[in-house]
Amino acid sequence: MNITAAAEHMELLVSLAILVCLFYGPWQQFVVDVLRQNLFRMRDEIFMCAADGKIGFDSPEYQAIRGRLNAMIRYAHTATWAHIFAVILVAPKHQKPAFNITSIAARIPDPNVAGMVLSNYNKAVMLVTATLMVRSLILLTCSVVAVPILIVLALIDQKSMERSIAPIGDAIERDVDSEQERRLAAA
Amino acid sequence: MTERERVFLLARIFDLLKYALRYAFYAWVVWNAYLAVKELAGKSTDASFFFQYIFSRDNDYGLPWAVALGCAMWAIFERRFRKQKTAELTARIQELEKRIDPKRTTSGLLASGDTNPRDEIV
Repeated sequence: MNITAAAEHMELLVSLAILVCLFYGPWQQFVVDVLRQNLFRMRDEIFMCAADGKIGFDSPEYQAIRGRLNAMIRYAHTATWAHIFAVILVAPKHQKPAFNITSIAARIPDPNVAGMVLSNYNKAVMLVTATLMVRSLILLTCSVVAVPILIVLALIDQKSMERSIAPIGDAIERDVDSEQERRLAAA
Repeated sequence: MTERERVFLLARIFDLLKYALRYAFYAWVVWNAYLAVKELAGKSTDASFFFQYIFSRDNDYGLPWAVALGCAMWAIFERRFRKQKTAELTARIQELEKRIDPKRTTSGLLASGDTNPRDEIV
């Protein structure tokens, strides 16, 4: 190998190492920040509904939803495929998470607020799912192929698509529950 | 072992595998760099040659590296400024919201929007 080839080789190696450091450093923080900002926006929306008198600040439903969003914001940095995969493997099958947004939304007197809460919460779960994918180099690479297929499947049969990704949503909710309990026990 | 403990243990095992793969990659980079340097052992080398190579016409006079460095510096300063601004706005928003809802709950993040050090993955 002559010195020019050695220099080119070194340049390639340094560039690859910098790219990997960038992906597992600043990129991870940035993705978590974006997720948190979106969750804050949803939390602000429900706060404004309460400030406008559409839902009570003291109502159990408002407290539950705000508490849930606070937990999702606080533990957003733990949203990795490793955690979700662990939850899917360990959690008893067919056991739903304790937190049920549908039953909480059903208790909200104002139907517009109930609809907004349900829609926002589902969006929050989708955002966490998307965050899992873009935080993982392997999942990000696979998503280049998988996302167009998923879009086509969603257009053909949305209900089946929702049913097939529901376990991921359940796993995310169970992961938030698990993280909250673990931190409380450690405190 | 509770379900919560099993989840945590399994997640940590997966995390360890990820770290192992990542550091194996860095070790591979260092090993290849070592082999490249070893290949040149005994041959006439000039330390300044690497700099001459970086700034040569074949390497676009090092402009891609200069652009990358410039973008990195800008990103660092922009991020620092964003976090300062977030911390300033957070205090104001919290005060205004507490006037409307005195029992307002918090997410537990730092004022800059960073993860609370107590919540870092250990």
